Amino acid sequence: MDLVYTTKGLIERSRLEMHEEFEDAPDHCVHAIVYTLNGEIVKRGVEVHIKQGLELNAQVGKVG
Amino acid sequence: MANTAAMCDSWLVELGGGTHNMNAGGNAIKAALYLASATLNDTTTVYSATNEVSGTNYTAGGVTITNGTWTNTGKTAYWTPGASFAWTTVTLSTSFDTVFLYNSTQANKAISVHTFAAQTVNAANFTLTMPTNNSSTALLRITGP
Repeated sequence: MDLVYTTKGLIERSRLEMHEEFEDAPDHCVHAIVYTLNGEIVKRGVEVHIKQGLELNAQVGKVG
Repeated sequence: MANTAAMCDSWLVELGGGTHNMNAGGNAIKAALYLASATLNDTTTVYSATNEVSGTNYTAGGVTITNGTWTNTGKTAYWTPGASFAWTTVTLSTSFDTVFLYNSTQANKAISVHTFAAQTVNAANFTLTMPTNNSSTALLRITGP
């Protein structure tokens, strides 16, 4: 028996529906795996991948 | 109100004073998650539990990250943690969209605020994977003139 840990405890995988969600933004992307039981979300795992961090452009003062 | 991605102003000042050692073997740097309703931004100076996420298997204060090492290519100095940030089998039911980095060795002083599309997590893992550590994409980059 293949059991999945959910908000409602361990549930047999065959009773769950699973779908994936993707979102792509300029500086990050999201991949979520969602399990539902009778339409209710009982498990949602997320990976956020940061594609680009923060940049600061420094300046140097001029003398004279 | 909303969270705004930024290097924290106080961190930039403290860099000059030598407060932060973010290199491997240096200070303990932590990452905490914040609700989408929070207002973290460049003026944030220190860690606070106000508006931090809460839920099953999430510990207030977040996780200690694997330090990277500041390096440079040309005029750009850059730094990226050495591993992803991971929260295992958490339930975070209220929408969150921000990870806040701070220096727990140095009185929880702020480093930076990073935002992403708002998420909830139910009985599963939440992982933040880091960008490629180079002068174009690293998590923190400072470029000279």
